[in-house]
Amino acid sequence: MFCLVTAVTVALCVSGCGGNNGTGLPGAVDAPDSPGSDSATGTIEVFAAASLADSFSDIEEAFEKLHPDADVRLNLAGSSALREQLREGAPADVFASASVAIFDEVASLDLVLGPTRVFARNRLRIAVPAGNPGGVEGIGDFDRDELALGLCSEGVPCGDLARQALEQNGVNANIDTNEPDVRALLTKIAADELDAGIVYATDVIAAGDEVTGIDIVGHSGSESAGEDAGGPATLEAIYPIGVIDEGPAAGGVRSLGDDVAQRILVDAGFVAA
Amino acid sequence: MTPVGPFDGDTGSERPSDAGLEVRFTVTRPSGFTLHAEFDIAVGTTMALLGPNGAGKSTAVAAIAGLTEIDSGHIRLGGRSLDDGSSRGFVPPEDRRVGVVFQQYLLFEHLNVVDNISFGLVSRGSSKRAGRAAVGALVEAFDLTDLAMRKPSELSGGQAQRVAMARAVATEPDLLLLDEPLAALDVRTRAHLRRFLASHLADFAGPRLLITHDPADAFLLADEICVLEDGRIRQRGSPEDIRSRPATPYVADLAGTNLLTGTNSNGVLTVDDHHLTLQASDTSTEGRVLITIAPAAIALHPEEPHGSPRNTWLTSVVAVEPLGDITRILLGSPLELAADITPTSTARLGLVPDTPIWATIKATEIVVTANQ
Amino acid sequence: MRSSDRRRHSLWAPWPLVVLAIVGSLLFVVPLIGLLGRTPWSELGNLLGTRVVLDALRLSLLSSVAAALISAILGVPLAWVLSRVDFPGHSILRAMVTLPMVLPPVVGGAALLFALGRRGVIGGPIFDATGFVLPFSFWGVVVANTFVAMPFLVITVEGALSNVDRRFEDAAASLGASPLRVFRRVTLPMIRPSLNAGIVLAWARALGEFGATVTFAGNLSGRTQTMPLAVFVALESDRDTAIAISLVLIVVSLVVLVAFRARWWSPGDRDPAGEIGGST
Repeated sequence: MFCLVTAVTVALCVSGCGGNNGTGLPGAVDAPDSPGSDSATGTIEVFAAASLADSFSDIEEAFEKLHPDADVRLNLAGSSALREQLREGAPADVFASASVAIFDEVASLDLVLGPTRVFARNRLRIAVPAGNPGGVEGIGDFDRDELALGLCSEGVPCGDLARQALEQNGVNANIDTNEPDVRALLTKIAADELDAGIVYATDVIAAGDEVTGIDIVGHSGSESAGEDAGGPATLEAIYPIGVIDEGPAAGGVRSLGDDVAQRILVDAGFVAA
Repeated sequence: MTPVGPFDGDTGSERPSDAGLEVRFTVTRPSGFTLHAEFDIAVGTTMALLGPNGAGKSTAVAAIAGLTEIDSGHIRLGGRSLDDGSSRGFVPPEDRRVGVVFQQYLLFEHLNVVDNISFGLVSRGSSKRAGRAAVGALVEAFDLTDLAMRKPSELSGGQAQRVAMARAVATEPDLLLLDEPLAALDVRTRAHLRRFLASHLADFAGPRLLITHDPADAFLLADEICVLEDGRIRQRGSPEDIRSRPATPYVADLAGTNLLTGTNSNGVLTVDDHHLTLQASDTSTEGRVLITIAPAAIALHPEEPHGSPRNTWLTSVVAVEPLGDITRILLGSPLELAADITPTSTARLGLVPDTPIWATIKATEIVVTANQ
Repeated sequence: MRSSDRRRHSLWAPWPLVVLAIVGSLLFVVPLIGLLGRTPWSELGNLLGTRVVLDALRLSLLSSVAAALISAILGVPLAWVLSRVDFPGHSILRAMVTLPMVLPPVVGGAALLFALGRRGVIGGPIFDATGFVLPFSFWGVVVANTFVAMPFLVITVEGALSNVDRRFEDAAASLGASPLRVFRRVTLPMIRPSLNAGIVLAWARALGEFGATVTFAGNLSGRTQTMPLAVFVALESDRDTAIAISLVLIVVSLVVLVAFRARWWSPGDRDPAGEIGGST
């Protein structure tokens, strides 16, 4: 199938699939590149940022079809919440974060095996309820008192990026709520309880007809992580993924750069890695 | 059994004025028990509803107080209809102006004595202060001045019952209804409170209804007695009527006991309102006493008996009442008593009204209980 | 001393019960010890003095007290109706009143949003007419707190009302008190201990409410971020602040609950041991 699936398979085998109690090595540890290492069994705990909800669900389905003995469990939450859970020793096999900074923090706790890989990027977008009842045209409208406006909490990547965007655009925002994760924020926008919020482009697509996306005025649209002198840094969330060390396992993680995997992600609205 | 008997030609038998209580109703409880009540109480008179437990007394109280609806008939008080058997005609308890004294006092625990007594006045719109002032005279009359600030939990049974009565009377109701007021008290307190009622009941101007199972209460406090048995009134009349002409065995039992009041001084009983003293063997119960003599304890002789009985006197027969196995002889002055003897003896002695006869009672047969 | 006195005052107890009781108490004691162990004692003052924490404390106290009062004002009549009036749908209403006690609070918050939000069944028309919106406001917090807290008060008071000796109410009626007067002057004083217990319970529940608040009222420091929300947010970025706020919450709750003691757990009864033991 696609290499993404394979890569995760390998990652699983390496990290001790399911009922080994984390001791000893699992069977059939082949070279990381081998696509035939289909010995994935048991439970695979995937900690993933909330914004990956839909795409990872699709990937999980496909993976489980391929490996019927495997049970992928998705733990979706704000990246910072996941970091705290990992810090307290939560059992995870894979961690996909929406922020490089947060991922690095987890890495600094010696929890991450081997090199990480950025597998996707996500742009910020303004989301408004279908029909745009608040008449929002751009990020400049975020200082309007009469609108009900929401962001993600500080510390959550989406929230930090949004605040950066507001600051860069010189907006004195009149925020009414800081939601703990981006999905909660999106739900309220879709229900027309908020007039606008700053979310990811993937969320706008995932919400379908209930939500309309508006570009953040001033966003450069650049995909590179470069910094122009005096210009705005790219307001993108960068998604690294890595295998979590939960036992005496060794090995590496395969990239998720495969075409098919990337297509799933791009269809969901991510920017290609 | 026997329907309510006709009145004697005595006083007390006129139709009560409109200000009194008029009761003619039927109530059926969920258990199936049915009460038929029919009586009137004139203002200024006390009626006792006397009956054993289960006779329907509490049903009667509930119906008259407005805690239960009657099924048919009517209740009229002071010219107003309280209940005519229809739901529209049912007057709720708070509008009935019936003052109730409950067996368990039911004083409000969170209020002191004065506030309990003035509760009715305050409920009708008085301020608390005005209420307290208004009941001052009542507090004194009922001898509660020293207890005025106490809470009900700090009162004895007798004190609590006096407070309950003051509370009921304070609102100047049209009817004073006392539901077994002495039943929860111990013997001594009961006697004490009975005397208290005897003197204070008459101060209440309206009709008074006393519910009780104790014949002593009825005979000592009531002007008229209704005997209630199995949901029906078996007999109605003055205490003397009840005692002398009992309509059923229960009434006969109930009413058979001769009850007198008097004073005991070292065994010498001075009977109230009579120029007669009796010798009792009880020398310990001194002072005011209740004197109880069982009808069977009175022996009758055609001639003055010889020998020891100290209580002997010449009297005459007022009436002869055959009651099946026994015959009840009502004796006249100097001491009106009921004596039960066999029909055979009655015939042998040739007892008919106005027959002179000697009566004796053994000292040991006279029961003396404290009455103060 | 009666034998029951002796048993109550000695340390004797059947050992299986003791063992289980100890395990049970550990469940409550250990987390507290864990928290105390990680508390940054030296910085506590600074942590608690920040704007965020003071705002959260203020909001928590105001909203929990408001929720307790509203619960009492609405809950007592509701309890009275449930306990005294037999109407069609009585058991359904009773079940609905207790529902927030078993529902996950987030579900409750979502339900509130759908009913009272800007596009809500009831909130919608109100918003269209007046522009007034409950979510994201202080009163939204109060509504969310009341929603989860009121059932505790209703259940407590309903039980007490059912146990009231109705003859006292009959006595009051016979003295001329209308049903409303009877309720105010006789029934209410008689259930005072239970009413107080119910208010304290409701207050405590409101103080600790998170799910319904964050879902319905949102999360904004200074306006809707109560202490539980502040802890949640702080957990992700500032562990020490989270612990400090948690400590405050626990201390405040413990003080209130201990102050009212066992008296509040048996509505209507006086503690019988109190008379023998001689304590207040």
